[in-house]
Amino acid sequence: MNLDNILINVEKPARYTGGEYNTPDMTKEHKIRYCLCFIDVYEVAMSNLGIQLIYHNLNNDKDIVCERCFAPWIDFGKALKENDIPLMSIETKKPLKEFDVVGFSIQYELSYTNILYMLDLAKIPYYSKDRDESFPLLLAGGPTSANPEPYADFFDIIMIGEGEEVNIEICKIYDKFRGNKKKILEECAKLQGVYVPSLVETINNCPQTKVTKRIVDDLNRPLYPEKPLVSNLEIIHDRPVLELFRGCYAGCRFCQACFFYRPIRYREADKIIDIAKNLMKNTGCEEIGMCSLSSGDYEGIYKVIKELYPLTSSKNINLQLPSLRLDSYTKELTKSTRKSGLTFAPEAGTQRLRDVINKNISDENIKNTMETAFKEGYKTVKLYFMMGLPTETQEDIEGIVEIVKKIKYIYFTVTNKKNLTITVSTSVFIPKPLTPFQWARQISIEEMIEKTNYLKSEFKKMKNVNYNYHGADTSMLEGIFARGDRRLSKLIEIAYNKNCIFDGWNELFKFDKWLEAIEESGTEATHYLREIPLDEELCWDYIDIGTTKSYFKREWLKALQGISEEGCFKICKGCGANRLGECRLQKGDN
Amino acid sequence: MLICCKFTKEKDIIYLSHIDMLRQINRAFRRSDFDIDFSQGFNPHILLNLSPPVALGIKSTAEYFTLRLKSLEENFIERFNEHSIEGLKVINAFYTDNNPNYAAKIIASEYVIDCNNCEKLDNEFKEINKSDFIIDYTVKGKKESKEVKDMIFSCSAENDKIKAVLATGNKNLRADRFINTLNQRYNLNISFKDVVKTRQFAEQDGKLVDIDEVIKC
Repeated sequence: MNLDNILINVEKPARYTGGEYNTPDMTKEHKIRYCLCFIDVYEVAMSNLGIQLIYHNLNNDKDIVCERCFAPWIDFGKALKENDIPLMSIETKKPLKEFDVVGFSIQYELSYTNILYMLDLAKIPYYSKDRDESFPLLLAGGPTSANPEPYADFFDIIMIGEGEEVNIEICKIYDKFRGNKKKILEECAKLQGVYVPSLVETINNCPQTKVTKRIVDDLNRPLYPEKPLVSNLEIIHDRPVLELFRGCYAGCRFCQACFFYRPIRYREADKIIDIAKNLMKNTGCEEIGMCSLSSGDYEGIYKVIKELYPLTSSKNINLQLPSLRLDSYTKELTKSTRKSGLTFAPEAGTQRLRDVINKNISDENIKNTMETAFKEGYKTVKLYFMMGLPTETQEDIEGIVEIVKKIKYIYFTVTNKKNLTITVSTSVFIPKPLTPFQWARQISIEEMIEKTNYLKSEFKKMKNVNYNYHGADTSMLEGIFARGDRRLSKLIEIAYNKNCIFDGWNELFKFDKWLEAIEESGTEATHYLREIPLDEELCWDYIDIGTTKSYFKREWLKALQGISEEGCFKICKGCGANRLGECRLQKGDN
Repeated sequence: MLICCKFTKEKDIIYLSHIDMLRQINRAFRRSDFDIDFSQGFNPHILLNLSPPVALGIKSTAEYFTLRLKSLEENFIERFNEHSIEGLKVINAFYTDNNPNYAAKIIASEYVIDCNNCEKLDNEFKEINKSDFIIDYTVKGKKESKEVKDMIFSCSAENDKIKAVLATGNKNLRADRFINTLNQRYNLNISFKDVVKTRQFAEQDGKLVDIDEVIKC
């Protein structure tokens, strides 16, 4: 069967055909051909701002042409294999194997088997040691680079931190020493943010050479994708995105993104407004989104909304404001956005536990915010909580139910109606590397089920409350990989051989196969889920993200004592992130 | 004010579903910065109507949409095409005050199919709808069969090309299913890539008439 006949028989063939509006010139003269890969389907990949940033910056380099390849859904993957067609790029249908450099963006622990799925379809050997110069140079990057050890053996180079600039630098080195992989790796290892697993000595599975995270010190330097690809089919976040700033002031102790993306760097409000205008003109999308870890904390947020709102509303464009923390939620913001629904994440059910995790939201905050929002006309509320947080007791779980009851009561007192719909989602706390909670224990599957069952039975009694929860089995696996070491590459390989792919997709997750793989690979799951003693060497200690281990330790000990710490909006708390670049403290009132 | 446009669906976008096409046309309008008349509801949207969907994978040079505008736009075709994705191009347009309602009027479409040495089958093709014509297809993994001779208005072969006029709209015969059956019946090797939808028809006085003749400025 040829490709056309395969395409017509698979679900959503437009995932694989390209031809999006704003596709750069693929025929330009170039020295390096780069393929940017994402280990999930098109709709997820194209919603990712990182992909657009890297794609745009690579294609803007005069020497580089960058194409894309996303994980084919199972039907297309199967057809490629059956017809012996190697995995290819979207733009020019060139097999991955024929590119100079292939870069993977790895977002999430449960997508690790998809690395092998794509390499297998592309007919590229899995392990870096098995690939000579005839294969492309394989790179990895993305948020999971906070601890890339579980997949380190598969890649030649791992980019730790932000990739806009380092990807281009690696390409230039590749071109200069083309044909000499050893030299390429040695030269690349000298770049900031580059980790070459094969060149690093490990003791007890802990790499011994320091790697400093790469940051873009001035957000205005790399090009912002003002002409982003406009997807041909509906994707998850089907809108262009404005990145307001990087990093986060809040310092919630469970949050990896907060610390991984520090120091805090701003894009000036005027620049954002300009970008927004261009995005509206160049994409024609019905919606435009803002993106950052906590958009409400952006100092110029009112200016941006005030200037953009008349422009977007006159063209019937919906201005979306995600990632608002409760305390920043004010009447002024609700006025300018459509009343589509309110999403908040108190994360923990009681004030005590919120102090432990350093989520600086008080019951009073919740009350005031909800009152304001209900007066403005909101009728649906989504709440996010975590279960299994350090020091959690049954009282904290009961606190989740109490919050929901309180919100229902507030709605009734404000509106005198009972038609509020609340959706409660809980996920399991997973200790992540490079956070104050990196030493914490992850709760067992049995504990997860017990807590979930309690909430299920409580919410069943309430009208108009929907309850969603994360699977206990996937959370366990995510926990293993989050703090996993290099031994886990074997586990990934065995699981892939047992046909485990798209593990993040509930309908495809095969826990029984994973349990078999864990046993066959000799992986001791509890080793990765336990509480780690403070003096033990961690397999991600070699990564310097600016924020110091001593700061994490201090924060961890404070957490155990239930002491919260204010965010670093105006006063630096000395996390150390500013060792890598200037950290922006807020100047005026927000 | 309405503008009626005839457009193509070619190249990679033949794999776009009808609903995705709608979204792409919408976005091309916004990029072209036309003075669009939006609906007045809670979620204002562009007032756009399309002719009946063409099957996934089939090229077309005769699709239609109507769009409500606030005023006459200069160089509509050029501006739209400049801001549209490759393969989706307007080839003709005219203004009107009343909605011509392509979707309701169109009842048939003509498909031109490349097929070497098919002339010898011309006589058989011409009789194709005189006896049962059963198509087999799969819907959501379930195999189905259907008798469709009433949905074939005509079929003929000439100069390495088959011309077939098939029902479109409420009563619909998909071109891909039709050619699959032709392949089986006559041992042909037609691919969906060999098929182009070239015209659409409405009924007038009991006859099929090209929609371009029925709806015009």
